Amino acid sequence: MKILLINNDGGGFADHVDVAEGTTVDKLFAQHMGEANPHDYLIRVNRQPVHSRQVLQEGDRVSITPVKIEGAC
Amino acid sequence: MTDRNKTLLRTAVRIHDQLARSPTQSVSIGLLDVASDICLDVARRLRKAEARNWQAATDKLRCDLASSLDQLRECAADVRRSLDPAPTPIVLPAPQIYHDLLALHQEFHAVEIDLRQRKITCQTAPIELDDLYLGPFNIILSLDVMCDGDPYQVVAIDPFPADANSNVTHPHVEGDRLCEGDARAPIQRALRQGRLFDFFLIVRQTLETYNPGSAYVDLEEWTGPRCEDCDGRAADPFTCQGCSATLCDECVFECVGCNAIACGACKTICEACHEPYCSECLTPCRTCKTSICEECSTNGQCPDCDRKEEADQTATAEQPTAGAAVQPHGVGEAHLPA
Repeated sequence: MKILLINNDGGGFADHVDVAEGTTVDKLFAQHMGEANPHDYLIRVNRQPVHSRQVLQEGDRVSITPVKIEGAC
Repeated sequence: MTDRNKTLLRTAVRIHDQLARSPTQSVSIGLLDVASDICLDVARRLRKAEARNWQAATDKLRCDLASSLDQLRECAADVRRSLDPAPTPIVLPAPQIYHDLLALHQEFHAVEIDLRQRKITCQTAPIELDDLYLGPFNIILSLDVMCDGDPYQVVAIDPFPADANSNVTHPHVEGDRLCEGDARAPIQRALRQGRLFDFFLIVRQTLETYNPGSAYVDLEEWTGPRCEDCDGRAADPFTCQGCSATLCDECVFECVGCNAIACGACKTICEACHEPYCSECLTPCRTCKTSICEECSTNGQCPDCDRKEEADQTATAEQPTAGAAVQPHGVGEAHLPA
């Protein structure tokens, strides 16, 4: 099934990606963010905060935004 | 559908149409020429200043060159990013933008959509960095210029600016502009795709982060010294020469005699003219011992004592003349036979 994955870390990324049925939020995070700590990110599904064990549905919009984003002058 | 939701939907459709009409954004490669020319020009002037041993000019040009190189690096990074293939989808469909606008109301303290001004404003919670209260901020997005250079402002609602620069209301905000740093690319991408929810979230998270390595004003230097008399901020502090207390310009006293700086506790007043003096510039009246300045001192006395002494002297001087009129007992008297 396809979901919209938005990664606001680094250069920013938004695209439709294929995920297996039954994929949970924490599994998706591990697949796309590697060793990063989920606690360092605001993870939203359809713009709402969710539990890490939530199972994703077709067409979900998942956004991953760093809690800390460093401004620079 | 409520009136508010109708407004949101209308806004979403307009944003989508506007973004869909915008040509694919790309950073002009010509900007690299401009940025590199500036660097070369500054480098040429720096070499000249160094050759002629102009120290002040050399120092300034070194800073200018560092700043120009930073701009060149930033420009190169923009151009490099623009060379990446554009991600899909380019622009979110209007219903997705509508849901973004709806979600903003749950994510932010206050959201205002002004279709007439074509602005969306989201208010953050009060921001505190390293225990320093900076207050809430309004993030104001101008819908007409979403893909241009300056599409949004960050305005402090209850500003607590840095002492060193009143335009700096946050370590990374100067004059309502956020210095984006790591947020730059994701902000641009979110705006170009119409992901307004992400845009506001990214700006908020940037405001909630302190990067001590690159701040307009470091948090450690945010507040200058405090005045030890009134506990207010002492932007250009003075130091009491009596007790070394730090003072603001409202609480400082300057000795009329020697211009020494004194605090309220160390300041003394000439009891004759009531002007402020330091203790060194006052002497006690030799008669009544009140403190007086040199101007008010006559023969080591305060004006009151001096006047009194003068009056006494006058009285003493006049006393013998009056006494001469009185004849001593028996003088000039003739004995008469009884």
